[in-house]
Amino acid sequence: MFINRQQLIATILTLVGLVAILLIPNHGVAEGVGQTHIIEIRDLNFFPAEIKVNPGDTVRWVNKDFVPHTATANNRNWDSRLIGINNQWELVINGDTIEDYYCIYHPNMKGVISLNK
Amino acid sequence: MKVKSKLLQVSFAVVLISGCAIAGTQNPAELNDLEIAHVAYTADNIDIRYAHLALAISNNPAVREFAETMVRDHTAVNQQALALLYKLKASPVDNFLSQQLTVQSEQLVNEMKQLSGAEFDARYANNELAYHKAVNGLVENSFIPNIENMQVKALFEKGLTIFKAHERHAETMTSSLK
Repeated sequence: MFINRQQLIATILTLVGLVAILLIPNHGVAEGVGQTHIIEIRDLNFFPAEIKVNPGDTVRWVNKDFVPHTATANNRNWDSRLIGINNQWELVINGDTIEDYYCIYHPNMKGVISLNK
Repeated sequence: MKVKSKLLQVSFAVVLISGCAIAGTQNPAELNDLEIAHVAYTADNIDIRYAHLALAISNNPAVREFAETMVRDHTAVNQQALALLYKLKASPVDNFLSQQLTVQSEQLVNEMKQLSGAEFDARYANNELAYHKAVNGLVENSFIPNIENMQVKALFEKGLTIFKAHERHAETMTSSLK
């Protein structure tokens, strides 16, 4: 059976497309394990204030505020320490890290991390 | 001397800051943008100074955490303010209110230096709450409505958000010391 040039090109392009779909990271889309959740810090608040996660997900705090902040677990199991202006910090979620948190420098700033059911 | 209601409101705020009566007060609402910027810069530096004093004297964790936040935040806001003024090719202008705040802060620093332990903590905490309430009132009611440059106004609005959070934090700190 012969494959002509056009069929060969179409086949290659299809395979490249499939590989690309598999390799492109899945940011903020609510499906699958290993998702990255982005929390913006601005106006002395965490946006969003509540997120639902799965073990294996990553949470990334990005400080877009005027002043430094932290993201610190209420039980102190994890602590970003100082997140400077325009800096960020990441936490990979496992069973021990699902915990509400706050900013040590501004204790009224609070966030909730809970498990997807 | 005839006193307008707006002048009375502003003077009351200044009295809160100073803790003593002031006669013949000029009107903070009539300061221009560069004078307002100077007042804000001065007020930030005063609070940074109070915070350093607290870190030198206090052993109370709540007081020390609050003081560290004051140093961190007021320094960051001042950096943003200076960066904006540099961008606008302008310099802050000294004025009567900056000078009053400075004189009054010297008096308070000299008073607090004589204190220690719980007495110092209470004096520092109560002053921080009163100071933030008074300055926030000035910023919200007298400065922001009268600032002409929109970038300066935006900076003050952001700063006010931060300083209102400081006021709430000061309330919590004060309650914890009772």
